[in-house]
Amino acid sequence: MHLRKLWLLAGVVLAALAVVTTGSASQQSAQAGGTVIFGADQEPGILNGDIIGGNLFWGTEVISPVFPTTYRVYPDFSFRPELATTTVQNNPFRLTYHIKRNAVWYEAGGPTRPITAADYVTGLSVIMNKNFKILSQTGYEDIKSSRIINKKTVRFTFSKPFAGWKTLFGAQAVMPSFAVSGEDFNKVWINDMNNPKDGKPISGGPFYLPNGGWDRGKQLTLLRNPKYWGPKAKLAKAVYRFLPDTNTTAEAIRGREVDVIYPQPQLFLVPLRHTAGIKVQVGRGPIFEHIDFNMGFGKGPFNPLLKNLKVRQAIAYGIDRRAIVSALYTKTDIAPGLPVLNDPIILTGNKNYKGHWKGYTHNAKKAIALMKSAGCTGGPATPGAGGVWTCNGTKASFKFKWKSGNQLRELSFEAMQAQLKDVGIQLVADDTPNALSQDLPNGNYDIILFAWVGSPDISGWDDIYGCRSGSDHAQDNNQGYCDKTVDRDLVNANHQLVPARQYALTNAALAQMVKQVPTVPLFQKPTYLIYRTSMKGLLENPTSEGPVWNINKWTKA
Amino acid sequence: MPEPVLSIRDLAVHFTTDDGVVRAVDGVTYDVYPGETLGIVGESGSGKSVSTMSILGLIPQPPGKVVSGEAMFQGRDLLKLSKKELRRVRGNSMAIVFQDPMTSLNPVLKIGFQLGETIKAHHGSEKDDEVKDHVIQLLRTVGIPQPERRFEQYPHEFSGGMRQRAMIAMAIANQPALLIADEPTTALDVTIQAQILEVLKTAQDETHAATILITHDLGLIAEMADRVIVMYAGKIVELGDVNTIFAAPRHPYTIGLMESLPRLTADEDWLRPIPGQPPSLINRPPGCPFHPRCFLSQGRARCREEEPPLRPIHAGGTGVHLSACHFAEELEGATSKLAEPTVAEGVT
Amino acid sequence: MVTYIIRRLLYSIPVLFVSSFLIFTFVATTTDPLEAAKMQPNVNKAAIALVQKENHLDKPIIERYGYWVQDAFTHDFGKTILGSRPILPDMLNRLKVTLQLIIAAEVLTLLLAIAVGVYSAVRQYSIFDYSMTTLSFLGLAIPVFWLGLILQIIFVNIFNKWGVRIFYTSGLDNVDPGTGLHFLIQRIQHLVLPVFTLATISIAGYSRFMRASMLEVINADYIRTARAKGLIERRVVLKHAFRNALIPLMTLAAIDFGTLFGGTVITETVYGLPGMGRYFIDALSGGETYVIMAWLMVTSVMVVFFNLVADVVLGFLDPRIRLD
Repeated sequence: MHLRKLWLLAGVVLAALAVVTTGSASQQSAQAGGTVIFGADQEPGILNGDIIGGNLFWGTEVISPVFPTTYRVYPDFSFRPELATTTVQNNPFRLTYHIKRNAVWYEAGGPTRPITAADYVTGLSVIMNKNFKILSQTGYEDIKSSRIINKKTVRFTFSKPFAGWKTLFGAQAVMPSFAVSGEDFNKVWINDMNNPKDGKPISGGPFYLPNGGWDRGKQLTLLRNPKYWGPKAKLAKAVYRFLPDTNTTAEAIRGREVDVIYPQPQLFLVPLRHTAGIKVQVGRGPIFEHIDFNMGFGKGPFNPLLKNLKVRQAIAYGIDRRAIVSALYTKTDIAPGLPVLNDPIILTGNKNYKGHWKGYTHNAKKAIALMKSAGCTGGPATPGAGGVWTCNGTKASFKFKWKSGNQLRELSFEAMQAQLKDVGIQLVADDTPNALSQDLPNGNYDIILFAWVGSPDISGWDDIYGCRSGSDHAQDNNQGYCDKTVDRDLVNANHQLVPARQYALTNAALAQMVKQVPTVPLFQKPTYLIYRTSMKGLLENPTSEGPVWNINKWTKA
Repeated sequence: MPEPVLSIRDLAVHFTTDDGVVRAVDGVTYDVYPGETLGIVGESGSGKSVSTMSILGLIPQPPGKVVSGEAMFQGRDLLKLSKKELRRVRGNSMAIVFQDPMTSLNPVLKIGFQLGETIKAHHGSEKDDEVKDHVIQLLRTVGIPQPERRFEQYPHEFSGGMRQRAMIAMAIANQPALLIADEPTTALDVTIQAQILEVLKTAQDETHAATILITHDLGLIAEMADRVIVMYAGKIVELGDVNTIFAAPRHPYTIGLMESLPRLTADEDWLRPIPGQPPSLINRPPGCPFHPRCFLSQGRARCREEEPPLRPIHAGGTGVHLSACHFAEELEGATSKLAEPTVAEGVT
Repeated sequence: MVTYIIRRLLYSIPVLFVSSFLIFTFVATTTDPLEAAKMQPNVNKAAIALVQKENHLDKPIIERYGYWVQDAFTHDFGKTILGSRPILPDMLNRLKVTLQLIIAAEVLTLLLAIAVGVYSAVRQYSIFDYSMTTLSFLGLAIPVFWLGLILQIIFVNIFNKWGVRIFYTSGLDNVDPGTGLHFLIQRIQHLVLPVFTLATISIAGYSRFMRASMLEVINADYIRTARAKGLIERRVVLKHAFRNALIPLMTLAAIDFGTLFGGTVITETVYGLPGMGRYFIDALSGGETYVIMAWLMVTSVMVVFFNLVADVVLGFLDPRIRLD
């Protein structure tokens, strides 16, 4: 009798649940009108992006809608002014910011105050304060002096030109001086984005974080800033739910428990691209894969044949980059439109992209011809005929290195190995766990496969492709590559403050670099921005801004 | 002769095992009369316990099965009763005292509760304090001191003898017409055995119940039984009143049992067991089940070929005396003789 | 009884010290909370040094352990390395969630496993018994994350096809959970799948155990006595057999419950629940030594406590056992 009663009870409960929930399902969507729900796979630890511990991606996604930024990077990699316009002077390098007239700080339950020049100066002094655990002071440390000209105008004088100046005074670098002055910045914006002096939420962006909005472990809720000085947000709320498992977020978006997710593209996510009610924007991310040749750097051992331009060119013609991209991303349907990348530094999607490596399409016959003309013997006469080249007594066999544990790179290696075998060049697998931390800086490789993170700010690449000398220049050039023209152009680009000229110099360097082919770019890693079709206005921004860059334009049907 | 309390006719109980069908009880017939104590004696595997357990439905029904027979008790055939009706008999008008009181009592329930259960199961209308009084009275009857305190105790707080007293109390709680005591003293030491026998006698006096006393202990039979059944290989081999059986046994097995008892007075160095092994109850050889070990058989063909029926013997005793031996008459005067065991041919 | 409990608690103190020291050493030497920060290009080295100094990251292990013990007692387990946030309040919140999860799972497990185990034993070799055996082995073999995913897919499909939201597949509450009854119902809807996922293995294991225990008891002499007394079969099974068969299971359940505290990692990760398990994983990957230690202390205490509960429960259930 007991058992039967239990079953009966269970049945009643389930029936009741079913009745109640059909009601609540519709109730959920009616209440939610105007709310976007993110499935975030990581929870920020703190909401202060300036100090150590604050540089997580989803932290940025939460902070960005709340704090104003001087320049915003658009999906085409251009910097556009938002909070202020800038006048640039050279000799000495000076920046004068003209803050927008109507820019204001909102305080929930408090007064609205204008964003002023003092806020810029406060930001600078906080960042340069050595008592605070500031993550990076690059650029700010070059500022020699600051001058407040009027309430909305401030001038900074630099000790030397800083090419990446557009990245300065972004979110949380322009600080509300009324809130932050005199505070221990290490304790500011840890669990909230409030005015530490009175505990009220503040905002200079389209949203603010209300008190109690962050339910740690569960979700974080932002509310629309009613006093936003820019185009006001159309959504009333933005909720970030913390769901660490990608499978779970995929199901959650299918089941309408979340609206937007931003996961790493993986095979099991591909069906979402063809699911009704869901849209996937496949973007080309800033991270790009490439292979580098060791042309005589470090202790080795390395194969000296790579010093020979013809050998490097033969390899470049011998591999079939299109086939690799096709196998990894087209055939798997992960990112069918992903193109081969034909330039390092300036990537596709950037209007200044020229694609200098596009000449290196797969050409097995040409590769064989090049090896022959390099004086090598013993290779195949026609592609696939067998045999490995020997050139002046050295076999054309190269150790191919990558960091162990990466399946994608393993697949890339296997593809290249097969392709080069056809043209008589042998690749030997040489993956190690510390390929990047030890082997690369020591030159212990022949050919190495890894990734750089591109940036809308293209300064600093002389560090990698310039001529290494002493202890001050090109310290990350681990290839032994040195071309004086390339070096000169990249160094100049570093100091070039006019964007058009900076791009021109860099492209000139690339045009020169491709002639010696010290590196072969492969492809940009794709990104997935997945959202329900009820959401409108989303546009993938493959820079570090992430998809919330235009959150104030989003609507929900 | 008054009407028997229990009448068993041609009872056969089989157990189905992987090796074959075990004929544990192979055609057993006897009566139990009111107020008497009937002793059933035999080795392990003779079927003595199974024959009584099976009529109460207490053998596991697969693999066991009552294949034939009837057991008339209080005007009804127990073997044909429904489960519900049989339950009403168990612990009520027919009760069992089991062998090992430590394992036969539930260790996590209080004694008073377990005894009370028996009463409540058959007299559901009795109220709790009435039941408690009843139980305390029962405990007193079986000679347990401080019964009010003992009521609240657990079995492990009782000594072996006291536990058996409690078991007896439980069996007589509902004034049974028939009490079955299955090896009631085997698990106890000798000094306690005597006490328990006293308790049993008291129980009989209180309830006027007939008793079936199952044991392998001849001493117990001599002390308590009015009539005796000797069982071997699932069959009755001898039946008679206790004096006759002891004074004038008329079956070689019975004689063998008595001979194998160690005697303080006799001047012997060696015990005299019955040679050989009890037979397999699956593949019983034809003829008399005892013949391979029988000193009387001496290889005679009749023993080997023809199963001896249970027939009346005239040995000068009172009442009915039956024996299942072809040559029972040859055993006259056999008790005093020290029989030479002759192992027949073909015995293993 | 009281002296027994006190003695047991005292014994556990050296255990806690040794295990905490071992874990501390292990975690402190193999993780670096500043790894992510150091990978940042042009990182401010002075700031890194400041964080290191504040958290004694440059000191030898023994000294760091000593600081931790001090912080544990005087400062509620101390603060996180990144952001200097107090640990205890966070952990207590996580503990509440995990407790809901495992209490519900344990109750469900006990109810189902006992029912299935008892019935399987009483109806041994029946179709029910065989099918439950098969299901049990399946339940033991299925990986937790796979089961979780399958359940999520099923219920999302149900929602998409018929518009009925029976259970939610992620998170602890809705975005707007509401109040009162509505809150309770949606909380239950969120917890059913994780509880079931968590309970599956336990149900499978416990029901086998209960079945075996029950079978052992059912063939005992005192059950024969109970039947011989004329008790109805159900009473024999429930009052006599079950009562005895339950004892070993209760001991198992009590000990198991203690270990469940650390075992909810996968379920919480798959369902996105803010519980202790996820808290631990996040701390481990972030190298937050103090958080891991605090977590360890709480789970150790739980394990010790529930082991003790197991013994006490056993003492209550089985009158033959005396605790002193």
